[in-house]
Amino acid sequence: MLNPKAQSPMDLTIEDVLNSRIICYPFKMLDCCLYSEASAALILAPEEKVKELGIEKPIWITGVGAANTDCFIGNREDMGRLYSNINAAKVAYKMAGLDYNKIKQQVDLAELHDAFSGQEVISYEELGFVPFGEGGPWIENSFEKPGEGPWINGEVPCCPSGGLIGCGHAVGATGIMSTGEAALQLREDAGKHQVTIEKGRAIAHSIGGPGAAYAAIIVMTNEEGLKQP
Amino acid sequence: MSKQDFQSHEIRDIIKINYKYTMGGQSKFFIEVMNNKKLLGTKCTNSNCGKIWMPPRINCSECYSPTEWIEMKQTGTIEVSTIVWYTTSAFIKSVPYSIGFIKLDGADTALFQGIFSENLVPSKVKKGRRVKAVFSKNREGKMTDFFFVPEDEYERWIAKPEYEGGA
Ligand SMILES: [Zn+2]
Repeated sequence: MLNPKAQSPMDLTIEDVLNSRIICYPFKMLDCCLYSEASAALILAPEEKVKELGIEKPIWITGVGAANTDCFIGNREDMGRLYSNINAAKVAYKMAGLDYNKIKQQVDLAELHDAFSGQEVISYEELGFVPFGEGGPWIENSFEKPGEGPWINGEVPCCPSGGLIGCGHAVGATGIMSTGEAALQLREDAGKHQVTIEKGRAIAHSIGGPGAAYAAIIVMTNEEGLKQP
Repeated sequence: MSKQDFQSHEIRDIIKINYKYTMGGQSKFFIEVMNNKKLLGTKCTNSNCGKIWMPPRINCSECYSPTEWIEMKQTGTIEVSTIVWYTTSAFIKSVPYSIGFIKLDGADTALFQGIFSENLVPSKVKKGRRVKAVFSKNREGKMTDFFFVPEDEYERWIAKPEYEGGA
């Protein structure tokens, strides 16, 4: 675990996770985040103010998307999916001028809402990195293959901060934490868990509410990313 | 009084609160479970919609028209489920047990309810499995008055002294 601010910095093997005690099938204890208390903050400013103050390495929000699905899971057509993720992603990508079907090639990293391991896997699919049903194979087949999958040195590093499972889940503050982490990455100030920044764009994702009905996605860009097509 | 003089004496105690809560417009569902072992849903009265809500909704969440009560079948299909190994003190004695969303036959939405099995393994409660409602003999008008079991275990469950079949 490379993030010094993480609440649960653990050096884990796949066996450690599989051997941890079961909480709710199929989730083991180490598949679940630690519910936590913490705060997170972002400093937001309009373009004129950033220029007036001469802020160095500002990160620009270029796309915002939010969507809801039925709060009561029993009302949903497909109870294993969060369609709010898909809709929020499409709105945010469109605003940022990105393509849902090519998003994997257009961003450097994503900080996803991985309160439980399975949530990160379905988010790969719903945010458009891989087709439906291929989130599991994407991570599984790329283990120890540099340049592939969602790993820190992969195609789209997902949760290089450690995500909610690594950092702890301070409900209500985590979306801000994930956004801040993605911003630090784009500024190349993330430290030991810094990923390679080439396109200058990152995604921050958060979900919440009853049945995780609400999804929010932010696309952000560094100065270099603004110049990229 | 200086800081040094201050002493704190603490006693651990319990506060008990007696209170009532109402099931409001959905009370009929709980009364029918308690008194008649029936499972009632609601049907939207708008002929262009007609959606069947289970758990019941007093107004249709799709078109906002009023709904009417209808009796539901007590068999259904598991839409999604999990097996619980960690829970609150209220249910800890039942661990492990399954909970899931069950679409009763004829309903458009799914009910969140416990699923019990004599041999609780994930394949018993996976999506698509058929289940049937079993009622406690001692009912209080709560969701815990009934639960679902795999259809092929139904006869054995209702033969147990504390449970019985529905109406
Ligand atoms: Zn209706």
